[in-house]
Amino acid sequence: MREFDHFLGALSLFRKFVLRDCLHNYVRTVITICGITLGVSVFLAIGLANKTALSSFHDTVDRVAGKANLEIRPLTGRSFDQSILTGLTWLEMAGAVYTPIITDDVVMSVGDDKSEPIQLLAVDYFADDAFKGYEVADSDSSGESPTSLNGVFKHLGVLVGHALASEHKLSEGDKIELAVDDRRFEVQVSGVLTDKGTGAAYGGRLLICDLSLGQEILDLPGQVSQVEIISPPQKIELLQEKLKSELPVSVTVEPASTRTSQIEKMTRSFEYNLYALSFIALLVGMFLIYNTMAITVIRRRPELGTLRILGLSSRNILSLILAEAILFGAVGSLLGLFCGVLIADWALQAVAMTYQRLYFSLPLDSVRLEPVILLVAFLTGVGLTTVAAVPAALEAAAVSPAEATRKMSIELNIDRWTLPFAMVAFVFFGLSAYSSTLPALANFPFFGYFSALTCVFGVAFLMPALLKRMLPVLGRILYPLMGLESRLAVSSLGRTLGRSSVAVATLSIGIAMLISLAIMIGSFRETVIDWARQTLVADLWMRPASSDGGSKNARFSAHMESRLAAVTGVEAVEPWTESDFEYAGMKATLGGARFDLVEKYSNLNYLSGRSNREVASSIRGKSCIVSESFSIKHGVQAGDTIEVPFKTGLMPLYIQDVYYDYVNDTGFVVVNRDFYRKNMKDDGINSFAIFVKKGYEPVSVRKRIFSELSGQSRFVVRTTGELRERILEIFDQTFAVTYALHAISIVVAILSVMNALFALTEESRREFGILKYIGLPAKGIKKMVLTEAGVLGLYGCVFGIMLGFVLSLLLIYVINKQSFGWTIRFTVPFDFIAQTFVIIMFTSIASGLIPARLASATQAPEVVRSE
Amino acid sequence: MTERILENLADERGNREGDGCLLDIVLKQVSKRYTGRHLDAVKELDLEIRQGSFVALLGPSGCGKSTLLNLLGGIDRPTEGVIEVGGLSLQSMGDDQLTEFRLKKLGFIFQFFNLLPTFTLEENVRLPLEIAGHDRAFVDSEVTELLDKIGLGERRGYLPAQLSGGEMQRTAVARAIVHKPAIVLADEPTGNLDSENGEKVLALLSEIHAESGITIIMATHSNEAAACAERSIRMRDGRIVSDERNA
Ligand SMILES: Nc1ncnc2c1ncn2[C@@H]1O[C@H](COP(=O)(O)OP(=O)(O)OP(=O)(O)O)[C@@H](O)[C@H]1O
Ligand SMILES: [Mg+2]
Repeated sequence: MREFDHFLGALSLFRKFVLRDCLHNYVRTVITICGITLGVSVFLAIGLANKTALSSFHDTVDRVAGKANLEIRPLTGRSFDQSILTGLTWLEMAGAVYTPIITDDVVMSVGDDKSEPIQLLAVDYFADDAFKGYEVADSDSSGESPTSLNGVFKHLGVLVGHALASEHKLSEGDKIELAVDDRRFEVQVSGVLTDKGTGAAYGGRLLICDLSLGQEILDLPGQVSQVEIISPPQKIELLQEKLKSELPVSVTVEPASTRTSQIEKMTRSFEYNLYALSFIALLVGMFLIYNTMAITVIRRRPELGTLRILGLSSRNILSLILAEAILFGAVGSLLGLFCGVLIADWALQAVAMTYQRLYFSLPLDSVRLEPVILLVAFLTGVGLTTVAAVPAALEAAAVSPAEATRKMSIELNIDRWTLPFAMVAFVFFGLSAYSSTLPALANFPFFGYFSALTCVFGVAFLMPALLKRMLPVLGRILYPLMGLESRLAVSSLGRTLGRSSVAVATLSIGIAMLISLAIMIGSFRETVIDWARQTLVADLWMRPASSDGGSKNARFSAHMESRLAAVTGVEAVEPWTESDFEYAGMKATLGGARFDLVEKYSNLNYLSGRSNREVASSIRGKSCIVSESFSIKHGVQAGDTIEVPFKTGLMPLYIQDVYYDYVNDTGFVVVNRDFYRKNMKDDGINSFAIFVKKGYEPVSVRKRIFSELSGQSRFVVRTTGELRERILEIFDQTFAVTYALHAISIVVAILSVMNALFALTEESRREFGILKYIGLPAKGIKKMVLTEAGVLGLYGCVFGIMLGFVLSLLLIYVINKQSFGWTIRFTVPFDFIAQTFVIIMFTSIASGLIPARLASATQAPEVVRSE
Repeated sequence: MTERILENLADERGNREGDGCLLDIVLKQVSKRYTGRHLDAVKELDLEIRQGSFVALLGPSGCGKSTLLNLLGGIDRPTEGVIEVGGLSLQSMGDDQLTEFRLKKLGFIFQFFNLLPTFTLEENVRLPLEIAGHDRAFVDSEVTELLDKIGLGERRGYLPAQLSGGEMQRTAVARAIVHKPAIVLADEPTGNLDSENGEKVLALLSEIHAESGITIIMATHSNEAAACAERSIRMRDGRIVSDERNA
């Protein structure tokens, strides 16, 4: 009972002391809550998008594997010979069952021009029913047909996933045109799957057919891409061992779940970097809160002193202030959850492209609302807000009752603290510098982010000392230019050093985030443009139509090379073949290139600085070049030897050199084409780089290629200009999320300017009143407030741009390098920085307008009235 | 619940019918020097104030009146010497105990009123009782009675900014005595008021003193104000220069 009364008492105190103050200063309350909302919603949206992507993958792996607890998969390439199945009959004796499947992506033609990548899953009907559940929707009655897989026995019959069927209104008997490699293939719908069981794999965007039809469609005679095994649980390890010893080294035997953990490992950098970026928004939100709370406490010191005299303990005060922060945090985070869910779908679309292009091909339609992530986002929002308020709350708790007896709210005597703070700042800078030299932790640049964070804190702590030195300088410059008000403004900022420092620090951090992201993306983009200009030297680029539609493994057959070379105007044709392989538990790409042609026509750049000619001429047999990402991801260098799985077995490859490449972050190993063909048993060609004879126009040669070859083959030919454009398009899509964060950081930066200004003018009302009393006209006060706004904006910009430079160095040389392994050439987007400067100065001064009006409206009597 | 009623009863009996020595104030060789100063604001002070007396502290600006009041209220700690209230040494109390002591035994009135700007007149007055954890009905009746007596009943819903200086100070007086403290410390309660309003406040203080026997210690510049008190103590440079009973 007593506790309950106490609780009610505390609640009523909270309402009167805290809530009314928040309502009274509603502009600042709104700004602060907006800051938190923004941070939480970005964090949540990214979290939901990442989680959805990974759980879709997980879900699909589960559905395809069904009851299988072991899988045989190729370590290299996309399939293996089904003849190894003949040696597996002993499995049945051991109580296990097994079934082969083929999966690959194909492209479905929709309408005239459009196409859509979908998954083809070919199964062995007789064996497969034991593994997964299939349910075919019956078109006649609501009942389900138990013989659900029967449809696959019809000639060219396929079962269609529910999502695909409903989107394109497919029903039994409809024909579907597929683009596979450079061919087209027509199949017929023999049933529509429900969204249960296997039908929901790949988000319901799949076709299921019989194994032999699958082999025919994909042109993989006698090949399978996976064997699923259901082993008695107690024998899994035994069987796994035995299989490993019997099967060729080019395949692996693992539980299906290892594929999920593998993809998690692969996408970790990408995922965590997104989290880290979204965390920056939260961090700036934290500074906003810190700012608001610190200024609130400074402003209300006499009131806090009075509460102490009336009998509140310092612990009561502490909880009162923390409760205020928790309220801000809770309201902001709740709104953040709401907005986050609203923008999550957009975030998913933005990251889906990258996930699909770099890591796995899965349709990602809509976000799954994971309650755990909602909860984490909410708690993170509230938690960080509370943490950010701790300094202010401690400050408030330390207010002595004696302060009630002083009339003026006093400025925190920061002068004493500038030196110790500066020393703390240098400790932070030291930590920052040191941690920037440390290597990645499990492929995640933990220390890089730590370095950025400590650098930010260092600037925050150095701010009082910086301003103490710099404000008088500015005062001396401004006075002759702008008169008395400017000097009053500067000296007023100097007297309230504590508040000004917090305001400038907050602003700087917002701006620094903006600038550093801009420099990073700008530099990266420039680097990619440069790389494309230097490396993409062929005149035309050709690949199968289905490959352009999103199918990764699409190939031309080998005879295309000679046909293409025979086209008039073609000087040389450089074929490229690639396939995925596993290296150290992660996916990488193995490429086969004609190095004799690379030597003559192409222009790769190497880390060693050696010429293309020199390196290319040395690649033959068991030697290779690797991309920079591969080298960094796996810690290998030129001169090392790596073991790469080929169809013919594990091969030791000598790394001749490391080349710059920005195509993906999983990395390439490139060997000579002859070696590739022999050991991968793969004659196909993924793409051609075509060099046009002197005196011929690439565009007219392209026309000729189409007229001579399009009869037998469906393909796309791009000029180098078009290809470069496409690369930049993909680049921009990949960085869409970053661009969005970029925009958000502008908003947060502007919020922090407004917040700081409101706080400062609110603080100085009494001073304005006195000045007016003394005879400064309202116009002069307005000018003074606007000058204060301008000065804050100016210093925020100056320090923000400086900090932004440092952060961008960390982003480019530490964080990005360790996450993705790309060398980015540092370029400064001066125009963007100039633009930012103007915008921030403008918004600073503009956001001073309302406070300026308030201040100039301050009536002299308000000075005398203390309450 | 019953526990608290008993406690309240005990408190009230202690306050009102105290046998005189219960909350006597005794200062022994008390000095206070603010950090960074080289003169004592209060110097080697010996003083005894009996429970239930009304004392005026007089003296020129800067002589140490406010400092002395702060020391008595446990708001500041003396650099040297002992302050005992009701036989308990304030120095021996921790922050929590001092808070509790202020909550139960002290009321404060300031020159600048120190009302909480976001609280209405009534809420300001209720606050000490609410902090002490009294139940609503009790607080309602006590506060209504007090406000009606002081003549502020009609203004109860106003915020401090909507009140006149005199009304603000009377509100502050009400807040200082609503929880029936043993001692009220008033630092120039009339210093910021015109003479008419000043008189009203002084009359209120005298009335309260006469009715309840609360100890009142009031720092003031004005001799008229001091005339309300039973005893006048004059200070100069941190020392007592005279101490006399008023006629
Ligand atoms: N917080 C403080 N820090 C340092 N010195 C102080 C502080 N408060 C008061 N003093 C000094 O102590 C001395 C006594 O001050 P005090 O406020 O007690 O005087 P007072 O008698 O109340 O004056 P007034 O009549 O003007 O209110 C003065 O010299 C004053 O400058
Ligand atoms: Mg005084």
